[in-house]
Amino acid sequence: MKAVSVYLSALLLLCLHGTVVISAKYNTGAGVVPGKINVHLVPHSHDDVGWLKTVDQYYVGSNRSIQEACVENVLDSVVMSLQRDSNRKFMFAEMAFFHRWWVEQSEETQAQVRKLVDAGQLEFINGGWCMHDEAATHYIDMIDQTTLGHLFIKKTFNKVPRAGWQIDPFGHSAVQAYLLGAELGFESVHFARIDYQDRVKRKVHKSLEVVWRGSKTFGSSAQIFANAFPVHYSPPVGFHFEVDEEYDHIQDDPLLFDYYVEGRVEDFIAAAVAQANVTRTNHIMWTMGDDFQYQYAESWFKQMDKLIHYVNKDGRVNALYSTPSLYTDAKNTANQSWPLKTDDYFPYADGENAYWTGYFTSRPAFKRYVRMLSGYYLAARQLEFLAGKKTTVSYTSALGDALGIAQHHDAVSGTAKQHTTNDYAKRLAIGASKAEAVISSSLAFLASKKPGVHRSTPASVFSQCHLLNISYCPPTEENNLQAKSLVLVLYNPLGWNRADIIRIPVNDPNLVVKDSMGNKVDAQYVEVDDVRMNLRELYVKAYLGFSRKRVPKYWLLFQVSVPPLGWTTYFISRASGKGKSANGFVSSHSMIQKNKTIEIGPGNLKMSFSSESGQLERMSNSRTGVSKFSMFIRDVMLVAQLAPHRWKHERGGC
Amino acid sequence: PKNLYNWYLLMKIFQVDIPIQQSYLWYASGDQDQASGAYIFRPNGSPPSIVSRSVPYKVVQGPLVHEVHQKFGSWIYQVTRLYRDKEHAEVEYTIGPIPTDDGVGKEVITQMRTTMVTNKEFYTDSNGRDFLKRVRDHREDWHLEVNQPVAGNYYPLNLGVYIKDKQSEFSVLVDRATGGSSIRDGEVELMLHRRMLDDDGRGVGEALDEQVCIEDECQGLIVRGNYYMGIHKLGDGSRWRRSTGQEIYSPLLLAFANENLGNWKLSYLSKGTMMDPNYSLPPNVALITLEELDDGSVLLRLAHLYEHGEDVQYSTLAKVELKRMFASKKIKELKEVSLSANQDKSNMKKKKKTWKVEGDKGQQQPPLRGRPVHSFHLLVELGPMEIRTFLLKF
Repeated sequence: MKAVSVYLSALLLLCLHGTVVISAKYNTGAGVVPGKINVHLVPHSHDDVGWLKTVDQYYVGSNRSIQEACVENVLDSVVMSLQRDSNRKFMFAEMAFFHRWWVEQSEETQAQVRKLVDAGQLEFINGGWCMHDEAATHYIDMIDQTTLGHLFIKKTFNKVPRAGWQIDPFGHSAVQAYLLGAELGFESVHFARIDYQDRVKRKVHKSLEVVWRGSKTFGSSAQIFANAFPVHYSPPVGFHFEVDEEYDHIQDDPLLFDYYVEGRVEDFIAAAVAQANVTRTNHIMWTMGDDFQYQYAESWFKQMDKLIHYVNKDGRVNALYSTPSLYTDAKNTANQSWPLKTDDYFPYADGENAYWTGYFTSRPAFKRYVRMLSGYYLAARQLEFLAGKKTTVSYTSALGDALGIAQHHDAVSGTAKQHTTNDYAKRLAIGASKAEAVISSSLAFLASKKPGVHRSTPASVFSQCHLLNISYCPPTEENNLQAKSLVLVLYNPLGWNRADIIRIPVNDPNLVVKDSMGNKVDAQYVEVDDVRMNLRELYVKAYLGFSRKRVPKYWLLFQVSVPPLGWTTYFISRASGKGKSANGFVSSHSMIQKNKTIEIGPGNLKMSFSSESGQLERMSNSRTGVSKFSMFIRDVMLVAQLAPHRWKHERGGC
Repeated sequence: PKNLYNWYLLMKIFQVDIPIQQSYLWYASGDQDQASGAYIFRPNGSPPSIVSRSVPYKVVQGPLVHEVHQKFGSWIYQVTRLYRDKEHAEVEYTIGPIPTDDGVGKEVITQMRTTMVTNKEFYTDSNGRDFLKRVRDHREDWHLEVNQPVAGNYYPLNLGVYIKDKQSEFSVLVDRATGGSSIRDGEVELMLHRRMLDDDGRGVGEALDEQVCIEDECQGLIVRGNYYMGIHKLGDGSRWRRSTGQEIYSPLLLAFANENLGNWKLSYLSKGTMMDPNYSLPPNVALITLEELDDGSVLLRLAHLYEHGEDVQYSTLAKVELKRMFASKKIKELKEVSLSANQDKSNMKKKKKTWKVEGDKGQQQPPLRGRPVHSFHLLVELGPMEIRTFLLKF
């Protein structure tokens, strides 16, 4: 009855305002129908946060010779199409794109979008800054980039995404399932890529959909419903409706030539039955979209409107607009048992000789840059908080944004084109320089004795050395230590006191290193080798565009100790007088060995090398295993009926 | 003296000593049906080629560190460092430019060979967190048809990989995402660098051939990095892996200034911490987020670092005293939220769906998790692997 009245009012509207187009000519309002195969049409566009083009090129649609893809078009046209029929649904995953679009919209458009979100027509799914990779990502980065998107959604729409949508990553991790799934509050996770052998078997056993317990520790308390697609994240063959694609249209106007409806309905039912045969329950999901689809959303929605209308009129199966959350609700309501999945979905292969295990290592330098900045971002935010964000001279959020983008499954994975990878690195470098200013000014603020010193203390008090890995550190190597000292402030982002060895390039072997109390600390010099110098020369020129004539002669190493979430200072000065007052020890080099083996190691760990071949032969650790040892002692005590409490306090002290 | 000798024998029992070889090798990237590329690892089926059999070396010794510098052919340089107070070997590699003038793409590995009896088993981390047991040529969910005995046994590492036998554990930790495996018993290998000449046909449309250029002169990218090797008695490795993993992820920050000593000391305090000076986090807990949000509230995440049963002493309930952790500030309000901080934790729990699972053996022992935090005591408990997220107001 409702459908009839909508139909009438639509006609009425058409009469009143000739130009208004309302597709309520079709009955698209179907819900779940018990007892029938329910085909959940899930409209989506898979928008890579950079791959063949950069993230911004994908957003604005430039660089079309590489790929015709424009996310701005997707969002513009989807929002228009959703308003034409309140039964239509769409979901969107990548907040790096959505945020770009949102901030450019007028208040009117924003209000319309809010309505669509509130009505459940536009649903945010996954909701992180990107659809992160699951192999090359660190869990802290996964949490950070997800939080970035989720807090934006919460603040802007007061919504909480309900489902994980990791359709494209090349294998799926246990941490994704239980941590970035269950512990986020997701009820389900959906993906396309699992091993080709695994998929064949799962289709036979109807076990593509499982309850996944990714954590041995948490078991069923951190489980998630996991849906692996039977083919890919595109629709069944023939139901791909992008504006520039060739497909069979439902042509239902008898006044036009090439009327074609029944054939399409038959195709639809055949595809639905085929999928239902490998799926438990009578709910199946059709992923209605693909990479950067819905450039002109009407091309998809028009066909889907008609399919829903005519398929449901036929009545053998039931078609409906849906989302992964609604699909999961339906799966959950059905009284069905699901197979159990533990561990993970690695490695992924899409053919006999096609294991996607190269990307675990691809672009190792970029992977290191991402990981290094991940730890840096964590520490920078601590300092930003400790000094207080209110009067900031800079901010860490630019690095958070760049890192969020870098977790994308074609970014840190190393599978983007070179120019796109350069774009990721550039964003990270910009973010890192802003975070560096936060760190420098926060440290200066925290350490300052003058109460009046503002958080906006110029960041220039301190400099940092990001190219230490190519032995390049101007503040330590070019420093004239006659008049002034080199002051080194160390910050420890860990919650434990930290003993470590610092290594900096210097020119002078007559230095004295003192700690914050003025005590000399142990130091050692190691001569800088040629390999290091050649590498330094090449890469300083490549990265900074100039050469350095003067090169440091030594590495200065010294022992430091830093309090938890705190800082300490070391002072490096030139020894007055020569040689003896310096507290360093210039290392001895030895090339000729008389013995067959050379044993090295100043502590408990020793390594032996063959003096002939130069190769490693043995490794030994004489450090008494604390836990084993204390357990052993405890057992001995118990057996000997001695008082075990005497030993309790010495645990860990052995 | 007799007591001392007994003590010596006792110490011997707890010492670990293993024969181990280490070398660099490369897999030749396959051609024929499928090329190696940015995504796919497709070695040509031959055993990996050794980069160099004779290894010129030099040794550097001093009180803090001993170093062995080794040259593997003309394009790999390695420095192994053993520190006085550290339990591991730090291995710094410099690899590249990978030669391709023979027309062959190369995927370079470091291989550590021990005599340990490992029965095809090895352990790799999941996103730097849980360790998963891997069995070579085997999948838990189906009978694996082995077509790629090397590529099909590679797993992603973010924290590291280890093997164990009845006596000892041999672990390797990484400083970035890295592929790794144990292709033969007692072995561990890491793929550290790769340079290819063909695209692997999965869309990117470029061969993974990274270069560094000065003006128009280009050469293959050189990669430098570290990995860390440790050997431990069986059951002792996990402490080293967990705490060293944290140190690798969060190195000390270094900030330099040039100043007259006297002036500096007049203006700046030389030491400080925000925590109670006598407090530190328990060894099984890490602070993984501390961030002031735009609205002034503060996001705090604490993570227990050990899995259930991983370590006798540390796989237990841990307690963090927020009052002592934030000794210099007063917490006015605390709210526990979901992992991404977008909903109340209690609300999230209420919405949880239940699922029927085949073969479920009914009631399981519920995992150990911390109790709700009392706003007066501000004591946070964490069970094994638990991550708790809070929004604080100061």
